[in-house]
Amino acid sequence: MKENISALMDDALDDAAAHAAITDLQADKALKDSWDTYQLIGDAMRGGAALQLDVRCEVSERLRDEPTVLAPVRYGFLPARKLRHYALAASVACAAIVGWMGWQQDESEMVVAKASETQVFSPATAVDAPYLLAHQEMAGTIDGSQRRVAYVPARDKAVH
Amino acid sequence: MQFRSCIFFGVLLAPLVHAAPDSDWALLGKAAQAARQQTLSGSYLHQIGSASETFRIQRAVSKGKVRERRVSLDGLPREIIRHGDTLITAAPDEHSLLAAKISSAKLFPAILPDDVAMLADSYALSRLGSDRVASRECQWWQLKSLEAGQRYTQRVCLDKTSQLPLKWVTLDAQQDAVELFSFIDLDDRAPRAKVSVQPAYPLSATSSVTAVKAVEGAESLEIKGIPQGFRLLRSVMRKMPGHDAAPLVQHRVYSDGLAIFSLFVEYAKDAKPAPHLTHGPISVATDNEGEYRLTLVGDLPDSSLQAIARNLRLVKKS
Repeated sequence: MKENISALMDDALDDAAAHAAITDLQADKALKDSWDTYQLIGDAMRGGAALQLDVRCEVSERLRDEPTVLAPVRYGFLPARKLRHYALAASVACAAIVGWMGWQQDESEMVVAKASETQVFSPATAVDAPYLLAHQEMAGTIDGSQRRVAYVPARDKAVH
Repeated sequence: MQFRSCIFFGVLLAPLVHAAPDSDWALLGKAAQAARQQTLSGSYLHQIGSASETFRIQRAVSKGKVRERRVSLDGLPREIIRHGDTLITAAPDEHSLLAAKISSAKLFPAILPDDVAMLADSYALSRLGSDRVASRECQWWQLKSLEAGQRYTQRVCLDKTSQLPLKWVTLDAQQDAVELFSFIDLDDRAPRAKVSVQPAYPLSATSSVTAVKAVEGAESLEIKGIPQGFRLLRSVMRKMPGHDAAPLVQHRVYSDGLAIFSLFVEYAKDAKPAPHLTHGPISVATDNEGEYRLTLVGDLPDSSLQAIARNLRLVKKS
């Protein structure tokens, strides 16, 4: 029967079968619950834009059944042994969080380092582009009076 | 009749309403001067597309003579030194020296021309909002091409006190930044130590300092069709980098004050393959004119440079 409900959701039933499935849905509460669950899953997978869970009736009923407590709750001190256990658990959790944060930070730093390696200007392009290089050399002399000189490196051949 | 008069005077006054007041251009002139002369030390970011690099800059002015040193902090080591009217590019090896030459094409913050008045022929100046750059309050100004799409839009954020350009953005027609300069930190007091103008790298014993080879020569060709607003800055017969044995090429440089383009004229049979790549805002266009090949390289939108290339005409001088 649930297969029919699933097929109904996917719009894969013909008119007669769809009509039968809807009749079953109205008659069977378990099937109705399944239908609601499938709809919820579908909404969640579509990004939650239409995610709706109507629990107002259930919550109201539960609240109505809850007893009204007028006396305040008495909070006593925890036994020392229990406290030690809680402290130990908190320390472990704290260490785990700090470790996880550090690991995340290392990852992001690695990404930044990798990105910067690939994003530095490369003069190799200019070697293959004499027009571009010639333009760049002259472009800085906009006022005409400027004299441009290039120092030739000690161990390399001149490239002017 | 009255309505017609309104239209007549409206048409006459429209350019005056749109034009920036003289005080705005005067302020831009102060910015140009501060950009070249103001004492400062700091570091700035240069970004082209997704690539970026940083430079440290120090500048001192003594008896009107500028001593400026900028050093690259990322990638290949480079130095660009300004001493008076001399600009020196220095690097530890040949490869890095090429990068230094490329980096020296625009020497932020000195991007505005000395004579900002020439910009009024091609750009409309307008005031934008306020901002904060390198912990300083600054005012944005925009220079937009008078002819839509012909040139990139330039935006500059000027320090509210000194008018020093703190940030410079070049925008394309889609308002995307194609190039950006921005101070990261800045101190406009004099540098504590004397700014050295000696390159840090050792020189070759034989070559020492070498001037860029550019041979002034007689030109037998006249160029027609250069767009309005652009003026000829230099014209030389030169050897192309890496092609020492090849015939000389006529290299002319034009500028409207901000946008600069080079025109190379050579025999088509001698022409070298034009680069397919572009470098940030720089585009490349080629066109054949008779037996000659014209190659244009400049910081103009691609479509604009292609249009210039198509409209150029060569006339042989008699």
